[in-house]
Amino acid sequence: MRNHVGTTIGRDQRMIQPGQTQSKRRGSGFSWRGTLAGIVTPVVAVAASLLIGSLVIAMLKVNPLVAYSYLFSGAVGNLGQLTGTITNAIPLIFAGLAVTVAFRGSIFNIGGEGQLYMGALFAILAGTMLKLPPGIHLLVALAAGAVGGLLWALIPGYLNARRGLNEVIVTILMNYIAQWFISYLVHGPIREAGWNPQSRMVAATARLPILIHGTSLHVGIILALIAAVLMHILLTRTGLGFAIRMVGSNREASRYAGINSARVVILTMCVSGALAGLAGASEMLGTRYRLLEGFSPGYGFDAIAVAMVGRTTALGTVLGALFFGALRSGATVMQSGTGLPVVAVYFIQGLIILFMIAGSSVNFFKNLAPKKEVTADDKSAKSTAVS
Amino acid sequence: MKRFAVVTLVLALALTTLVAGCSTKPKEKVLAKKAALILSGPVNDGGWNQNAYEGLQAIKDKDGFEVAVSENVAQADQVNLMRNYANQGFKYIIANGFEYGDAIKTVAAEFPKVTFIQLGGIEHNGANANAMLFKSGEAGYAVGAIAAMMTKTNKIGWIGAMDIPSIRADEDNAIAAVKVFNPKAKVIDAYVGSWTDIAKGKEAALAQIAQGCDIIIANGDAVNHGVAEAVKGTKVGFIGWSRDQTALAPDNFITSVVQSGAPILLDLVGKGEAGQLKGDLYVMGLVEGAQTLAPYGKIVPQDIQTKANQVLKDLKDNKITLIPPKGS
Amino acid sequence: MDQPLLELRGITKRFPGVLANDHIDLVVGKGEIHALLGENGSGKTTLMNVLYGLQQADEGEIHFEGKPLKTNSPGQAIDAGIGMVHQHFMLVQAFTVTENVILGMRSKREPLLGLAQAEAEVKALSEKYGLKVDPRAKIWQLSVGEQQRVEILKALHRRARLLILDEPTAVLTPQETEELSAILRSLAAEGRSIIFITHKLNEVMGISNKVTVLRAGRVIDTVETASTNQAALARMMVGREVVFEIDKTPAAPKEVVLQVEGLKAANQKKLPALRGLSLSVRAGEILGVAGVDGNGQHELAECIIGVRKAEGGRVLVCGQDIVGLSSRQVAQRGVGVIPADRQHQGLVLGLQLAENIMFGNFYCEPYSRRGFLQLGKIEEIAGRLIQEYDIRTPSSAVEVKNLSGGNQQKVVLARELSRSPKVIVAMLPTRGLDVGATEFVHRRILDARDRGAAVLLISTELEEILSLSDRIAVMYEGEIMGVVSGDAADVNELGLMMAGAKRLPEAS
Repeated sequence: MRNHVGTTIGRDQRMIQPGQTQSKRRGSGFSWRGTLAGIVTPVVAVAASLLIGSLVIAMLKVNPLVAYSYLFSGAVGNLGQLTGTITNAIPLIFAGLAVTVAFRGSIFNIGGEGQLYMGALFAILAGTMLKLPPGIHLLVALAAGAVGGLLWALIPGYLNARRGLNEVIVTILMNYIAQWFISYLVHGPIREAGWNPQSRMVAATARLPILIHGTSLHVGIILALIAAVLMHILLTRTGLGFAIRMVGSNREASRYAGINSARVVILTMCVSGALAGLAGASEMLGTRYRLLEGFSPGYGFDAIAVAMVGRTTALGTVLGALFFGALRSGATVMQSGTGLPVVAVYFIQGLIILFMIAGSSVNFFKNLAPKKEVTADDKSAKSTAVS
Repeated sequence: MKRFAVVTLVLALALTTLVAGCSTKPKEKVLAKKAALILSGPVNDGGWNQNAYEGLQAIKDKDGFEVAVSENVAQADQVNLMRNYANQGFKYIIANGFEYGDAIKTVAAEFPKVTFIQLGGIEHNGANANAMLFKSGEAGYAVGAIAAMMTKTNKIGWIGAMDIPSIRADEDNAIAAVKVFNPKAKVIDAYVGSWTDIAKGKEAALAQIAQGCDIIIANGDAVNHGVAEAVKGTKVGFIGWSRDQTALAPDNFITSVVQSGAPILLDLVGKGEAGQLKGDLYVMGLVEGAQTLAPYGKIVPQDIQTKANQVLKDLKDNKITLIPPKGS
Repeated sequence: MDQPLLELRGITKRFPGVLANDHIDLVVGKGEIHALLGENGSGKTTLMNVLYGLQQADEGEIHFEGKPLKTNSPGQAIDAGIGMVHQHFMLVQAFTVTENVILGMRSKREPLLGLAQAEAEVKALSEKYGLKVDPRAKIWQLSVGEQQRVEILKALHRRARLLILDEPTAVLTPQETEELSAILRSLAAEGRSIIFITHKLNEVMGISNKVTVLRAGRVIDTVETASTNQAALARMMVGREVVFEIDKTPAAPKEVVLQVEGLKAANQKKLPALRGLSLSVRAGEILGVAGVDGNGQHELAECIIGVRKAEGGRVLVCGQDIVGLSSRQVAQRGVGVIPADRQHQGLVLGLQLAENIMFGNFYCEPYSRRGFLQLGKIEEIAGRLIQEYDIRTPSSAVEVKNLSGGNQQKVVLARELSRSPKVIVAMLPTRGLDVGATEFVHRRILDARDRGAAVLLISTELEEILSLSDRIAVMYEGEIMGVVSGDAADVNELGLMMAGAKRLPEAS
C-alpha cells in the first residue's frame, strides 16, 4: 500500500508542459546511461577479480604479472590461440543466448548442459547415420541438434507452465539424465566398432567447414553471431519477444493483458533449448566430430555466467562468451607456462561471477553513472520510491 | 538496433584485423629437449593422471627434460593445445587417454617432426604418432588368481570404474583365473560409471558385501577410495588398482596392481632420443615393469604369496593364454 | 474499569502528500475488544503499525499499562506485551506450529531448542483458549484459519496482553469467523485486550465492546457497541459530505451492452464467491457496484474479463456469451479493464511507458506487422496518448515504475480508453490516488460513458460510487442486494445492504 501514497502530479506540472513530453529516441531500450552502467559493472568486476586473483597467484609463488601475461598471450597471443578463443566462444554464445532468452522470460534454465548434450546427440545421429549431399547434410544435422535441445527443454517448460513445477529443479535433474544417457549410448548402442567408447565420426558432408586453415576456427562462429543478431531482434523487435519479456516481468499483468503465459513459457523454453542444442551441435559438427562422454567442460553452466556478465542482452552475451572463451584458452597456456594449477583460473572466474552479481544487485555502479536526463522523471522516481 | 549492428561490425572488423595480422603461418621451431603432458583430469587424482605425471617428472629428473603439463583439458581444446605446444618447440607431446586419438591424428600430420605419445590409446601412424597400451588382462589374471585362493565364501566382488574394453579384459581374465584356481568361486561385478565418484564406489562395495563377497577387486581410480571405505572394519579383503593402495585399508589390504608412468615414459622417450620411435603401438605390462603388484598385505598367507609369485612369473614367461580385449 | 491498558495521545503520521493519522486519540481498557473501523486508506493499519513499532509516529505518545512506551521496532512492542496478527501471516511454511511459535525467542535451554517443553506449552495454550491446532503440524498443511490461530498462539506465547488483529476475518470462512470470535471473547474474559481492524460492520456489532471509527486519518467517534447500530456506523465511516462534486450530465442510457446472468464462481480458496449474480449495464451509463471488500467484487470483475473461470451462468457482451473465452478474446469483443491493482495487474512496471501502452495488443496492427513490432508507430501512439491523457513523463521510453501513482493510472486509462471499448470494467480505479488524480480518472470515466460505453464501476469507496454512478448495485456475499438509482441513493440504506441486513425485493 505504501506505494500508493506518493503524489507528484503537482510538482511535475511545473517542470514539464504537455507537448514537451514526446520522446526523441527510439523505444528500443537503449540509453547511454544504461549502456554505461552495463559496461562499467562487468569491467569493474573483471578488474577486481583479476586483482584478488593476483594475490592468490602470488601466494602460490608465481609472479602475477607473468601469469597474466601468459593468460593474455594464451588467449589472444597468436593466431592459434586467438582462433582457439573464438572457437571456445562458439558453444558459449549459443548456450549463453539460451540462458539469456530464458532469463528475460524469468525462467531459470539451468538445464543448458543437458540440452546441449541432447543437441550433440541428435546432431551426431544425423551426422553419422544419414547420407545427404554436402550443405544439406550440415543443415539437417544442425537442425537435428536444435530439435534435440528443444525437446529436452520442452519437458521442464511444459511441467513449469502447466503443472507449476519449479524449472530450476527439473532442469538440473535432467542434466544428469542427459549426461548418463549419453554415457550409456556411447558405451553401447551408438558405439563405434573398435576400442573406444565413442560414437562414429560425423560424415565430411555434415561438418562445419574450418574458416582458417591450420586453426580450429569453424563456420559455427558466423552462425553464432547470426543467432545473436536474431536474438536481439527477437527480444526487442518482435511480438513474441515482447510477450516473453512481459510474462517474464509480471505473469499476473500478462494474464490480465490476455497473454497465454503458459504458452509463452513453453515457447521460451523451446527457443532456449534449441539454442543450447545448437551449442552441442556446433561442438560436434565443428570441433569434435564425434560424441564422447563428458565432451562438454560445463558449457551449459558457464553459459549462465556468460549471460550474467553480458547482462542478459544478446550483444553482451557474445562479449561474455568471448571473454570466457579467452579465459579458458589462456588458462591452459598460463598453466603450461607457470605451472599454476588451472583451478587458479576457475577461482578468478568464480570471483568475476560473484562481483557481477554483487554489482548488479546493489546497483552501485548505476548510481555512479552520470545522469544526463535528470528531469521530473528522476525526481518523481525518487519520491515514489520512498513513499 | 543500429547501434547493435555497428558494434557487431566493429567487433568483426577488429577480429579480422587481429586474425589477418597474425596469419603468417608459424614455422616449426627447432625442437628443444622439451616434453608436454596433456591430461583430462587433475595431476593429483591418485591414479591414471597422477601416474602419467610421475612419468613426466621422471624424464625431467633423469633425462633432463624441460616439461610442461596441462590439466583438466576439455575435449574441445585438445587440438589447439597440441598445436600450441608444437609451435612452442616441444619435442614430445604426451597425451594421457584414449580420448586424444582424433586430436593426435590431426596434429601429428601437421607437425611431422614432433613426436606424439598417446598413453592408453592406439593412435599410431607409422611415423611420429606412437601409442602405448597396458597389456590388458595379465594384471586381471594375477589378482583373479589371488582372490580365488583367498576367498572363503567363494564370492568375489569386481568393481570397475567404466565399462571399457581394457577393464573388461582384466575382469574376463580374472574370471578365467578364478576358474583355474577355485572352480567353486564366482565373480560378481559392478561398474559405477565414473572414475571419481567415491560414494558410488562405497555403495557398490557394500552391495557386494551384502551379497556375501569376502574379497573385492576394485579397478577405478578414486572410486577405490570408496571401496576401501566400505571394507574397513570388516573381514573383507581389498585388492586395489593403479597404485600401491595399502594405506587405504591396511587391515584389509591384499595387494594392488601398480601401474607406473615412470618406466613407460623413460622407456619410450629413451627410444625416441635414440631414434627408435617409429609410430608404433607399444603394449607394456609386467615384463616392462609398466605394471606390477604392490607388496602383499599382512592378511595374505605365505603359501598364497608364493603361489601368486609363481603366477606372475608364468605371466611374464607367456605361459598363460590371456583373453584379449574386445575390439582390439 | 480501572486504569486503561493502552492510551494513544495525538498520534500523527505523515506520508509525502498524505496525512495518514491526524492527532489520533485512542483508549483501550483491560479485557476490552475494541474495533477499529474505517474504509481502506482511513489510517487504521498505519495507526496499528505505529503502535507495533513498524512505523514511527511524527507526533504523539503511547502509554501502555500506565507507562509511556516508545516502540521503534516490533521487538520492543513484543517485549512490552503487544502482539500483532498481520493480514498476511508471518509464518515459515516448512516449520511446525511449535517451531513457528518459538521462532525468534530465546530458548530456556540454550543451546538446545527445548522443543518438547515448547510443544507442551503450545498444547496447553491451545487447549485453554480453544485454539485447535496440532503443535507438530507443518504450516503448509494448515488451513488459513488454523494458520491464523498459530499467529494468535505466537502472540499469547509471548505473553501479549494486547493483541492487534489486522482484518482478521478477511481470509476466513463464516464458520472460522465464528470460531475466531469465540476465541477472542475467551481471551477478553481473561483480561487481555484486543484491537481488531475491520471495515465489516456486522463483525463490529458481533464481536466488539467498543468501536472507534476512523475516516481520512481522523477519529470520528468512539462509541459503545451496544449503544449504536450498523447504519449509524456506516454513516460515520463514510461521512455525509461528498468531498468533491463532479458536474455530471444526466446519463442517456441506450441498449443493454453488458448482461450478467446467474453468474457463479469460486474464489482463490475454492469457496463460492459469486452465487448466481445478475446485473446489466446499458450503453452510456455507469453502474456502480458498492460493497465491503471481499464480497465477490474481484471475482465478478475477473469473470467478466476472462481471467477467472465462471462455474455457471452467462456473461453477455452485446448479446454474445463470453464465458469461457480467453481474456484476449474478451478484449477483442470490446471489453476494457482498469484492474484493481495497477502495479501488478494493470502495468508491467519494468517495461517502458510505450510498451505498457501497447501491452496486450502487441500482436495486432498497428503495433506489429507480421510478428515484428512497429517501434516507430508504437512510439507515435504513445506520444499522442501522453499528450491526450496528460501523462507527466520525460519520454515514452521511461520505465513506468519511475512514474507517480497518478501517472501510472493514466497510462492504464490511456491504453484502455483509447481503444473505445464498449464495456469498461473499472475496479477501484482511484485507489491510492490523491485528489487531483482521482478527479482526472473520474472525468475520463464519465467521458467514456458519454461516448456511449457501458461502465461497470466496482469500488469499496462509497463516495466514489455515489458521485459517479447512474445506478448503484450493492453486493454482499456474492449476490446483488439491490439496485438503486444514483440520485435516489440513501447512504443509510446502502450501508444496510452492504452489511447484508437489507435486501430490495426487486433486486436483479
